[in-house]
Amino acid sequence: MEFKICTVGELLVEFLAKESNQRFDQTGEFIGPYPSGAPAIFADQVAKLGFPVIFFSCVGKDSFGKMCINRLKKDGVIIDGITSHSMANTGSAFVSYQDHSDRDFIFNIPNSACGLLSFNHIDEKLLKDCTHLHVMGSSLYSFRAIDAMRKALDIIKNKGGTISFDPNLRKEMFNIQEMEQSFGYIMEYTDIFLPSENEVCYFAQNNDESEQQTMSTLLNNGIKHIVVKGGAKGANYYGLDEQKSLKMIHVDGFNVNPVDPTGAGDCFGATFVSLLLAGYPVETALQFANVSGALAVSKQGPMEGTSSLVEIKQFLSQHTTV
Amino acid sequence: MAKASSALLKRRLDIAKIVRQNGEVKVDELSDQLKVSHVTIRQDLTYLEQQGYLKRSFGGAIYISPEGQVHNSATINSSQTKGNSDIDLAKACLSYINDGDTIFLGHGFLTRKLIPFLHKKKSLRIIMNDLRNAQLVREFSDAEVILIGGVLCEGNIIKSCNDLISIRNNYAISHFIIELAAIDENNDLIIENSEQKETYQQILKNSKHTIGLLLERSLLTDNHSIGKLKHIDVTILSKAAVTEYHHQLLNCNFKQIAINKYCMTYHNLLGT
Repeated sequence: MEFKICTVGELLVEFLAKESNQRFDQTGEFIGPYPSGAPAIFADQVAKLGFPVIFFSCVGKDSFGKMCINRLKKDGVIIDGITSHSMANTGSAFVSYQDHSDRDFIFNIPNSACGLLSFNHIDEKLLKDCTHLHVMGSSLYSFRAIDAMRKALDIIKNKGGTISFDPNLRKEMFNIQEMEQSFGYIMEYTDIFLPSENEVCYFAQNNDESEQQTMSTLLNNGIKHIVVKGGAKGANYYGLDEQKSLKMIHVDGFNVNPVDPTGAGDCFGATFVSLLLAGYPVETALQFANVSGALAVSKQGPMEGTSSLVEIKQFLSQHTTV
Repeated sequence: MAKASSALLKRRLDIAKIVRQNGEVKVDELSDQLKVSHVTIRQDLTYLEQQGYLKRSFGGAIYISPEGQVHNSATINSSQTKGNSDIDLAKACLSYINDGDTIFLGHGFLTRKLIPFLHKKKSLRIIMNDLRNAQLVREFSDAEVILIGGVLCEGNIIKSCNDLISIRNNYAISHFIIELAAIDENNDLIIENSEQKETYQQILKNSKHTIGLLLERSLLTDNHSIGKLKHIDVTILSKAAVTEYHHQLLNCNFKQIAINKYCMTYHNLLGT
């Protein structure tokens, strides 16, 4: 099936703390810069699979920005929607892993070049042949960014395109009111919803309802496919069959040595959405997405673990499901 | 799931869209259109003003590009740059206007952009030839508005008749602000609209100072000259126009005075 995906949002460089539990208020060693940003990782993974994807963002006219653009270009992402500004620097993030794979972030996004992303940067001409928009919750960091996202969303929806949404909730961004306000708005247009396990309760009507109940309600509200991402545990798919009754599929994940979990959810989402749009059966799309996530966590750096279809198939032939 | 607050965001996105499309909005109209109270709309407009999307007035708001405040134009596509330079050109005029001045504000798109900023000036008298612009002044300023052909009163009613001659005789115009389409090779000041040519020729002769605004060179087949470059005191050019006219202005004894992100100001050293 012919399709082209569009993503919009933050493009930044990331620095990883060398030690786990490394503190941000004490001098320590960091490794980086690594190209990063959830929608950028998503786009990179789509491109690696060999599908067309365009990414809209802003970087500074600095080496960080150049690095990010070159990297996406090399992997096959269409970079015509990325603007280089001379007045602001490329965004950055510092990450430190705590025990139990919890992470601590310091973001510099709203005040960086990607904070300047706005309505005028979404060029309608570049969206001409796009059929799908993927929305990252983390990209809805300001009214201006939401306004830009809405333009892309309107254009793609009006042409009969589809929308996928990954809430990608970050505790560091909870204080941005507009972000929370935009979730309900984006959900109304969402066809494919990709929350992670711990985000499910955020979208529940009542505190004590089960995952299944929550998903049932969302499907009845018009969402067509839901995948709850459980990392190594695998993923749960929810959809409605022809009789409008709930269809649930669980596909196990893979146990790999986790090196760096950042970006794994984005790779999972990108692989699932691409393959679903390409006409793969849901089970296969989920299985490949699980592999994509597993390959991502086994590499250091947020975007370093994106993989091609060949790599995914190779991994599958070497691993049996746990 | 859908938090109640998403209605608020949606409405504000809608208002941003409307003001971007229309250039201006009215509280009354938005309230009718979006079916919420005036108070709510005013709060929304205040929020959007804080976000840099518009400039508020008493009864509504006027669009400004949210880009303008943050970054420069060098790498952005031309349509945006234009939006930014419009506002900047208009704002550059402001420093020449003093409280109590009598201004002749020529018709046009650029001069219209200046109007929302006039609220900072007190006791202005503004003579105009563009009814739509005249109505806008009413919203942003307490200035006395004299329209060629009449006086604009409360409720936007035109009172009595003013022809050009009586205006010339009754008012001492301190500043004539005119939007130019081009300056030709003979240093003639070219405007786009032939109907206004004679009016502007007369005003140019009768006002103390003249400020010419030039966004970019327009290619015009008919050249409607209103006078010579040497007869104006100040020209404010967009960056796009600077490359065209810089040498021509220097040759006419103009000097570059001020530079900002989107425009440059030149003064006539010989005076008029």
